[in-house]
Amino acid sequence: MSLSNAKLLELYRKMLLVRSMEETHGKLLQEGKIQLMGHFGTGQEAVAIGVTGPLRPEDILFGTHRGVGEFIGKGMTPKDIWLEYLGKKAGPCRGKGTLHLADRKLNIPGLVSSLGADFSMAVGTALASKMRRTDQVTLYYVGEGTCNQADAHPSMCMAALWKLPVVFAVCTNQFCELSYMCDHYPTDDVAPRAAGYGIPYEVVDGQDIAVTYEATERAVAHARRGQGPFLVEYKTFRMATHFTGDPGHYVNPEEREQWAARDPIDLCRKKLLEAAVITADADQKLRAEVQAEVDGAVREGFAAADPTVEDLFEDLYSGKGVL
Amino acid sequence: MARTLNFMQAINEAIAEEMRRDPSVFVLGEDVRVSPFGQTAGLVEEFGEERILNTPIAENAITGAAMGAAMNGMRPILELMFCDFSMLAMDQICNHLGQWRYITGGQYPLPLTIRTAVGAGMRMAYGHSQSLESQFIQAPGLILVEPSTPYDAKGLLKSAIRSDDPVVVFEHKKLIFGGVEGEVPEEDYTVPFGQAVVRKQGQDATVVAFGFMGYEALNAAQELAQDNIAIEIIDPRSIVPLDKDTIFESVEKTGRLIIVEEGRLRGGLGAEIAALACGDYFSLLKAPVQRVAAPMIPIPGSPVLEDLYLPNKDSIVRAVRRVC
Amino acid sequence: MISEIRVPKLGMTQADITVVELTRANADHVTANETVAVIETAKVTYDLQAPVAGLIFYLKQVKDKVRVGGLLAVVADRREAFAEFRTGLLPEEEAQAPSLVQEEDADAEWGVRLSFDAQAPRQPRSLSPAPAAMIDLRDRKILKRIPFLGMRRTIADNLVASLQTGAQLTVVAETDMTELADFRNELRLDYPDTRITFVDLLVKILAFALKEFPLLNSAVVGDEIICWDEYHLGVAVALEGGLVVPVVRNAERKSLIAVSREIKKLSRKARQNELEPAAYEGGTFTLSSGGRVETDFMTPIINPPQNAILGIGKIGPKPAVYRGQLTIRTMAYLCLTHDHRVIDGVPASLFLGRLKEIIEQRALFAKILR
Repeated sequence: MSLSNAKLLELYRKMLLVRSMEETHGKLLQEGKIQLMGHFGTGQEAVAIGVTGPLRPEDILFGTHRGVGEFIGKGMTPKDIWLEYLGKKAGPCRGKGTLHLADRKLNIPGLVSSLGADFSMAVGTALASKMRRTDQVTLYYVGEGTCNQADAHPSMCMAALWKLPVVFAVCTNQFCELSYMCDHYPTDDVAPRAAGYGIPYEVVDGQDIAVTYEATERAVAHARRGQGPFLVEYKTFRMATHFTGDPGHYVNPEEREQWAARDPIDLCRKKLLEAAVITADADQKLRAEVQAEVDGAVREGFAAADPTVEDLFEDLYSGKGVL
Repeated sequence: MARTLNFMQAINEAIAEEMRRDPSVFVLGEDVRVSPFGQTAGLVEEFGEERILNTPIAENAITGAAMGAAMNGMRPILELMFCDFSMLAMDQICNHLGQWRYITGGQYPLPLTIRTAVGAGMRMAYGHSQSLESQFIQAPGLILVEPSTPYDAKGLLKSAIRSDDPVVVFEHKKLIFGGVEGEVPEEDYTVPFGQAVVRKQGQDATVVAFGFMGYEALNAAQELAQDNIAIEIIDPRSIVPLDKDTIFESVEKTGRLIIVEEGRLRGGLGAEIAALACGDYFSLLKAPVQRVAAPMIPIPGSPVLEDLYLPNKDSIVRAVRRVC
Repeated sequence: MISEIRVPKLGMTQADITVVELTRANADHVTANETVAVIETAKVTYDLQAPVAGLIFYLKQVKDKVRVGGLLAVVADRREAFAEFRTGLLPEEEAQAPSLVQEEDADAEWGVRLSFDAQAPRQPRSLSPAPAAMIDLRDRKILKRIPFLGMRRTIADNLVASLQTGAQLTVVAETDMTELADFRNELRLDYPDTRITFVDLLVKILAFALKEFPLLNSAVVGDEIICWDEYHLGVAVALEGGLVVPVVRNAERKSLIAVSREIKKLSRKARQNELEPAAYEGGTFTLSSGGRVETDFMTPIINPPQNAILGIGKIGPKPAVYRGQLTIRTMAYLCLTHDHRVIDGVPASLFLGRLKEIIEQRALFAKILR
C-alpha cells in the first residue's frame, strides 16, 4: 500500500473541492447567474482524483467534459477554472475555451468537443515524449461512451505498435449520454478490447480512492518504464445526469441508491475518521474552508475583466490578427 | 547557383533539408517509407524508421496523433496520400487543428504540416482525383498553399515546416507524376505565404489560376494572343492567406477578372474571390467576373468523360472571350 | 567588349539622380544581373544591375549627381577593352574614370599586371544651391555627420521651391472625431483582416468633398489653373530617409476597404523601397497625418503642382463642448494649407467646414465610407 495518510487526506480535500466546484456551478445555473452548461461528475470523484494523483507535473493529461475532477487533480485552481468558465481575459485560455480547459503550465493540452478526437492526440503526445527521449507519460482519461468512437481502435493500435508511454484511463459510469451503457455495449466491460492490441489492462472499483490511485500508479509506472500503454477501467456511477437540464428519467432509482451508499467521498472520510487522521470537527472545518475557496474563486471570477474586441481576432495565428 | 529539379525532387529535398536542420521535424503517414508517389522516397535511409514513420490506415487518428506530437514539441509532416482521403480526417482538421491555438488562448500552437495530393486526369476515377481545396477554406486557423513549380514547392513547403501555424500543402498529381521541371537554387530559401506571382503580364483580363491550372491558363494565353487579347496570369500560390493586393492591382489595370480552379464551382475558391471583387473592388470591374471550375458532378471514370469534366485551356479561352 | 550602364529614366520629373553606393571595386568580376550600384532620385532608391558578366569600371563616384541617360559604369570583358574605351572618353569624363597603371609584380613570370588606382584625388562636386553657412569645424565636437544629399536634399529643395512659388496659408479647424472613431471601431468586426485607419477614412471623405470644391483639387500649369476631374490622393508616409507621398488613384471610385488595403500596400512597398516612381506621380491633393506623434497641429507644405494639402494632428481625448455640455470627446485639428494665389480664404474655410461637417455627422460620412 503506497498511499500514506497524508496523501489520502490531500486526495480527500481535492475530492471535496471537486464536489464543491460542481455544486456551486449547478447553483449558479439555477440562480440564472450563468448560462454555461454543466456536465457534472458527481459520484465519480474517486476516479478523477485517483487517475491524476500519481501524475508528475511534466506528465500530460487529456481530460473529459464531465466536471472538473481531473483538472483539479492535475493542479488547476478553482480560481483559474472560474476565470475560464466565466470567459474572462485572465483565464488560462483567455476566456476562449471556457468548458474546454487547457493549461500549458500544467501540461493539459485541451479538451475537444467531438469526444474521442483526443484519443489519437494522446497517442501523439506520447509519441513525442518517446521521440524526445523523456520519461513523460500521457494519461488519457475517457468515458466508456467515447470508447465507441472509431478512433479508439487505431489509437490503441498505434500506442501498442509503437510501445508508447500512454495510459488509457476509462471511467465507466454506467451511462453513455442519456442511455445505459448496456444500450451501447454488448459486453459488461470496455477493458478487454485492449487485449486485441496486446495492451495489458485492469478493471477496478472506482469508488475507493485508494484503489483508483494505486491502480493508476501501477499503470503509469508501466508506461514510464517504457513497457508501452496500459488500460485501466474504473467502475463507478454517474450520480449527476448527462447535462444540467437532463431530468434523468431513465435512471433506475434503486440502483442509484445502492451506489449512493458507497459515495466515494463518504468512503474516504470514513477511512480518515477511523484512522484518526481527522476528527469530525476538523472535517467540518475542512469542508467550510474548501467551500470558501470556491466561493472566493467565483467572486474573483465575476469581478475579473472581460476580454475586449482587441482579443477577438487574436490567438488564431502566430502572427497578429486573422488572414 | 540553381539547378533543374522536378516537382517531386523539390518536395523530397525540402523535407530532407528541414529534417537535417531541425531534429523535431519528422514524417508520418501511410507508406511514407516506400512512398507510392515518391515524395518521401529514400528518406528512411538517411533518417531512420523513427523519423520516417509508417502509420496504420486511419486518416483521422493519424492526423490526431500528428497534432498530439505538435502539442508536445515536435514539428510533424503528415502525409494524407489523396486529398479525397483527407475527408476522413476533417474532424481533426476543421474542428480542431486550425482552432486549437485560439481555443487554448494561444497556449498550444500546432506546428503541423499536412501534405496531400489533388488533381484529376490520371484516370483514377471518382475517389482518387478530386481537388477539394475549397473544403478547407471555411476552417479558421489554417494556412493553405498550392505550389505549381518546383521552386515554389520547395520554398512553400519549407515555410510550412518552419511555421508555427498548421499548414496544408496541396500537391497536384500531374505536377508530381508529370515531372514538371524548374530551376531551384542550391542555397536555402523559403517562399513566404500570401505572396502571389504574376506568371504572365497582360492588359486585357486578369486570370487568377490556382496550381496546375496556371499551365492551362498559359496555353489559353497563347491562343488568345492570336486575337490580340493579352491576359495577365496570376498564380496565388497561397489560398489562405490570399494575396489580394497583387490580384486587385492587376484588376485595376485590366478591369476583368476570371478565376480558374480545378475544384468544383459551387462555393469554390472562385466564388470567394468573386465575392471579394464584387464587394470590395466593384468599381474596378468593367465586366462580370467569370469563374472557370469543374461542374457539380462526381469525377467520371471514363477517360472521355473525365476530360470533358476538367476545366482546361478551352474553358479558360471561352471565359475570357465572354468578357473581352 | 564594353557594355554600358547608364542611368535609367525613373520618373517623369526628376533630372538628376545621386549615386548612393557603388557595390564593387573597380575591375572586380561581376555576374550578369548583379547589383553594381545604388542610385537615388527624389523619391526612390534604385538598384542598377550589370547587363552582362565581366569586369566593372565605375565612371562616377558616390555622391556624384548624374543626368538621366548619363554613363555610370561599364562592364568590360577584359582590362584591355576598358583601357581602349578609356582613351575615347571626353577629357572631363576621363578625369573621373579609373586609370590603369602598370604595377611591378614580384613574380616576373606573371609579367606586367594591370592595376588601377580607384582613389584618384578628386574635387568634391558642388551640389545645387548650397545654403550651408561656412562654419569652422575645427575644435568642434561632432556627434554624427549626415549626408545632405539624395532623397533628403531633394525633399529639401522641393519644400523650399514650394514655399518660394506659392502663397501658402494654413487654416485650422478643431474637429470632433468621436463618431468617426466609433464607426472605425465598429468596422473592425466587418473587416477583421484589414484594420481601417483614420487616414483611410479621411482619404475617402476628402475624395468626396473635393468634388464639391474643384479649386482645392487643382494645379497651376503655365497661365492656367487646371481643376482635375480625377481624385488622386497623395498619402504621406514617413520613412527613415524622409517623407514620401505615394498616390491612391481614383480614390472616390474605390471602396473604403479597397482604399485601406491599397494604402497599406503602398506604405509597405514604400518602406521596402519597392515602389515604382510612377506610384508617386499624378497626385491632385495630399493628406498628411501626424501619425502617432504628439503633434496637436501643423502647417503642412503643399506638394507642387497641387494647390492644397490637409494635415491632421493628434487624435485624442480633449475637453469639448458637445450639445451644450462640457465633456470629453475625441478631437483633432484639421490643418488645411492652400495656395492663396489660387484659393482665397473663404473657399478654403468653406472646404474645411465641409470636411468638419462630414466628419462630425455619421449620417453624412456613413454614405461615403463604404
